Order: sequence, then structure tokens, then C-alpha cells
Amino acid sequence: MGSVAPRIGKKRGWGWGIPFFGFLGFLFGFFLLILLQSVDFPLGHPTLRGYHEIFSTTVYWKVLVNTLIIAAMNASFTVVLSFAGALLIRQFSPRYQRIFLFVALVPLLTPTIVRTFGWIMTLQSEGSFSWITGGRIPFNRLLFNRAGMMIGLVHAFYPIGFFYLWTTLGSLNQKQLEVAGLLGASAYRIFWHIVLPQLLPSVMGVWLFVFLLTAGAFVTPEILGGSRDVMIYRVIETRLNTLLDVTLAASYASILMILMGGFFLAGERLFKLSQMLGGGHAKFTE
Amino acid sequence: MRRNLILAAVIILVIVVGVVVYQWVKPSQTPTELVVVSWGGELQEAEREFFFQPFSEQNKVRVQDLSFTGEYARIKAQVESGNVEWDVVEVDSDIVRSAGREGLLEPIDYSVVQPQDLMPEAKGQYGVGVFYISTALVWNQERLPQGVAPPNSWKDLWDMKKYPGKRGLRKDPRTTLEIALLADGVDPEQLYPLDVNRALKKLSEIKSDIVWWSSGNEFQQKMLAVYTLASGWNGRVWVLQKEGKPVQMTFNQAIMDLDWWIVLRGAKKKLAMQFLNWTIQAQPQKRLAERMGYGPISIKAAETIDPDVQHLIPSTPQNKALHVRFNTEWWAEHEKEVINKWEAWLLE
Repeated sequence: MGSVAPRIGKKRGWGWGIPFFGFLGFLFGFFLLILLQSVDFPLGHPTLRGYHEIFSTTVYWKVLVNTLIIAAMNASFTVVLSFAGALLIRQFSPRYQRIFLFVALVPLLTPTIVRTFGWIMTLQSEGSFSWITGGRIPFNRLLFNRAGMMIGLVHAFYPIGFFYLWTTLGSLNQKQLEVAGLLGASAYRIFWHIVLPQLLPSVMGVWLFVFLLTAGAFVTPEILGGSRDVMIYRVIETRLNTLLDVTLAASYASILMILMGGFFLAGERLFKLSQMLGGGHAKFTE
Repeated sequence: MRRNLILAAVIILVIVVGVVVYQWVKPSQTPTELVVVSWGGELQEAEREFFFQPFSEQNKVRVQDLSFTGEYARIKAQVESGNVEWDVVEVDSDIVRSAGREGLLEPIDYSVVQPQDLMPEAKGQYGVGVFYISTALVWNQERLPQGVAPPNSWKDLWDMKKYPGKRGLRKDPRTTLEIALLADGVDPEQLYPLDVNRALKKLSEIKSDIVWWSSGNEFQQKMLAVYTLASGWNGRVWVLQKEGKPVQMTFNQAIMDLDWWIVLRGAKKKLAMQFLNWTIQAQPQKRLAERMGYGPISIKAAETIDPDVQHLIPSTPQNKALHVRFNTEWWAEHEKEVINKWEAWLLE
């Protein structure tokens, strides 16, 4: 690839360096600013008070673990649902597929605040679900706890997994599938031995992508979650807004960024995440 | 083609930079505008009708009203950064003291604000009372098990067997800690100094069943959506009752406090004082009380209130006797340490 593409800037010298580093600075500069904010100067010399407080207080670690569990749960549900959905919709003709794709796009186009409050409106005591069922099923028990939060999160994130897996499914070598069928393999065997192994890197990639995004989610857990579903955003938000402790918030954010960066690099090593997100899945179909 | 693209990019860039520079350079506010911050919803609508609009028309001043949920930090951040966007803010009583002590507020100018008709309690150095407000025990009648007597004290809010279902409490230690201690059997006379650890321990018993509310609107919404029993502001309960919702409340053991107007340091002081003087007049005070059920701080208004709504007003002599008083001095003194403990407890 690299040898074919024209080398941009070959003749233009260093003039291009300014927008290039400007762009890099815009994307990554604030990571450095947050790292800087996490260092405190109470007596004129730098201290790591924020990190010290976080490492010596178990509650911050409990929140972190809680967040990772919620993120993993959401990523798993999202992957299973979007994979099943993509497989199902691939069975229809292209025309119906387009309709389904449009429907699947709806949660992505709805503002988060409308989507989350929409769940409250539909699930509450006088909500539409309870109206349809004549009030026999207490749907409002699903609100403001782990279950309600999961519904909201999966609803928010499944389009990402769905669209990606739908595209990768389309790029599978159709002849290979046909040959397997002709040789007498059942649909189950084709799925298990041909489709799944080729899609596994994409599935894992989607899982990690959704996992990373959920770990930083704010609106959905805040509105639909319960009093025990505390996630990291709450630590950062209250340290900034209620306690005015910028140092602690920045320290916690820095730890989080390093951790998430680690997860991303691990994903890159194991599943070639960047290639996957760039749409480069040629590797699986050769 | 490529040249056109570059041209388009340059034009977009120029427009964006132009807009940013314009926003930066242009004067941020016209000088004849007063920014008043209240608590949203029906309360703010009533205040707009009885306070903001008449004041605006009479004085030919534009009044812009915003809402918030009582965070001290937002006031502190504005004054300390020197970027004061709010002029007059409605706050809980302890903020008047702690913000006043920290030098974040303008002292009230009682040559402009006429205190003759003001209840003595509502005349502060750094604030003027808005109304008496009660944080009361509220329940949704339809969610009580059949044949069970309605709840009567904060102890019932902890009784998950008798009244199963979600509990609503304000996501703020103020009044919530008092409620927990009263439920734990502390004598109302000996409530202060608050035993914070004991209160948090009591709250931990029902933490899984608590669904927090922060604003009055959120309280109203969740009262209908999920709460069986909750703490809530009496005015918001009355709003629900007027809409015919099956929501009931009792003033027994309810916690009474004053809401206050404060003027931020560096705000439009002169105009703000004129506004405060308008809000304490008997006529707007009486109308707000009759609309929202909050107790007026004007003596004349309290005397002339419609007898039909007397029983809804927390500050009438009969209702006052049922209440526990919120201790502003204690809170102003211990605010910081309590908030730290509270935020740590929320994360548990």
C-alpha cells in the first residue's frame, strides 16, 4: 500500500509540518494538559497528592472495577445482539436489508438525552409499555438499576457493532460458503467452522471498541442507573463540580487514560484493532 | 477540483475563526440585563409570572432567568474566576452563610431593600428570604399495598416490609442526613450536631432501593414513575396534587428551611437590590404562596393568605409546630467535611 500511494509533501518541505503537528496537538495535546493538571504545587514544589489519595483509598478502585464490569457486560450483550442481528438481516434480499439498516440507524441518530428519557417514558408506571399490557407487568422495576442501565447502553451501542459486523459478513468469500454447502455441511457447521473463525477478529474488535466507549459513558448510566451503579465519570464529575478538586479529578482521569490506552494497545496487538476500524479485513478472506 | 476543495476548506476555516473571534470580542452582556437563577419547573414559571416579568416591565429591564440545582461550587467558581454571569441566585440557607463568610457575596443593601414588612428570620446580612419550604415525607397512594395505613414518619421510609418499592431522596446531604437520623430514632430536639457517620450508616441500609433526585422537576417525574415513598418539597407535591395525581404528604417531622436570594460579588448590584426589594412585597409574596404552597416571608402576605390554602403552607403556626428546623449555622460550619464524607459514601 505505502509504495503505491503518492508521498504527500515530498517536494513541499517542512511547510506541511505546521498543520500536521497542529492537528496532532489538537488530538493529543489535552492528554498532556490533563497529566499536567494532576500535579499539585501546594508548597511551591510538585506533589502527587491526587495519585496518593487514589492509591490509598479503596473506594476509587471499587468504582474502577465496577466500571470495567459494566463496560464488559455491555460489550458482551452488544456483540451478541449485533452479531445475531447482522446474521439474520444478511438472509434477506438487498432491498429489505436497506430497510433494516435504516431502522438500525435510528438510535444512532436520536440524541442521547431523548433516547434515555424515552426509556423512562416507556417503562414508567404510566408509560407506554404498561399501557399496552394493561398494567399487568411492572415494567417500572426495570428503571434506575443495573437492568435499566444495560437496556439503555445496549440500545445506544448496538448500531456500532451491527454496522461493522454486517459489512464484514458481506465481505466473506461467498464461493467458500457455497462449496461448503455443496459438500453437505449443515448451516450450523458452516457458521461454526467457516463464518465464526473468519469473523472472530472483528467480533473481538467490536467488543473492545464498545468496552472502551462504555467505560467513559456518562449520560445513560447517570439517568438510567441505580444508586449502586457508580461509574468513574461520577468520581471525575463530582471532584470537579462539587468538591472543586481539579488535581484529584485529573489524577483519576490520567490513570483512566493510561489504562484505556493499555487496553487499546493490547487489542491492537491481538486483533489488529486499527486495521479493523479502518475497514481493512482483507486478511480474513484470503 | 482540488483547488476548489482547498478554497472551500479555507472559506470554512475563515468563517469558523471569524465566529470564534466575534464571540470573544463582542460585549458579553448588554448592561440593562439582570440574570436571575432559580430551580426550574413550575416554581420558576410562578416566579417568572409574579417576580421577573412585573419587575422587568416596571423597570424597563430585561430579566433573563436560568435554573440550577443548588451547587455551591458553581457560585464559587464564577466569583473566583472573575467571570460572574449570574446576578441573583436562589439558594439553600447554608450557602448564604458560607458563601458570605468566604467573601463571594454582596452584602444586602437595606436602604434599597425595605425590611419593615420582612419576617426577622428572612433578613440576612448576605441574603433575603424567598419563602419557607418544607422537605416532607411523600408517598404515591397507588403503590402502597392495599389496606396498609399511610406512612406517618421517616421511620416508615426505612420499612421495606410494610411499604415495598423504590425510595426517593435528594442527592444532597442537606436534609437527607437529618431524615436518616430522625428515622434512626434521634430526638428532634437533639438532632444537631448531626452524627454524620450514623446517618450514612442508616442510609446504607436502604441504599439499593434509593433512586436519587436532584431538581424539583426530577422529583415530580420520579414520584410518578417509580417512587413509593420519598422526601420532597411541599410545593412540588402540591403541583402534582393539582394535576390529580395520587400523591400524598405529611408535615409531620418535615424539615423546614428558608430559600434565599443572594447577590454574587461583582454582579449588577444596584439593579439586583431593586429586584430583591420587589420580590419581598406583600402582593407578589401572597400570589407565589397561593400558587406554590411555600410560606411567605412578608408578614402582610402571611396574614392575608387565602384560608383555603392555609393548611398547605408550612409556616402557619399549626404546621410550624409539626416541623423540625434546619440548622443553618451547623451546616455552614461543617459543610466541607460533610460533603467530602457524603461524596465518598456515594461511591461505595
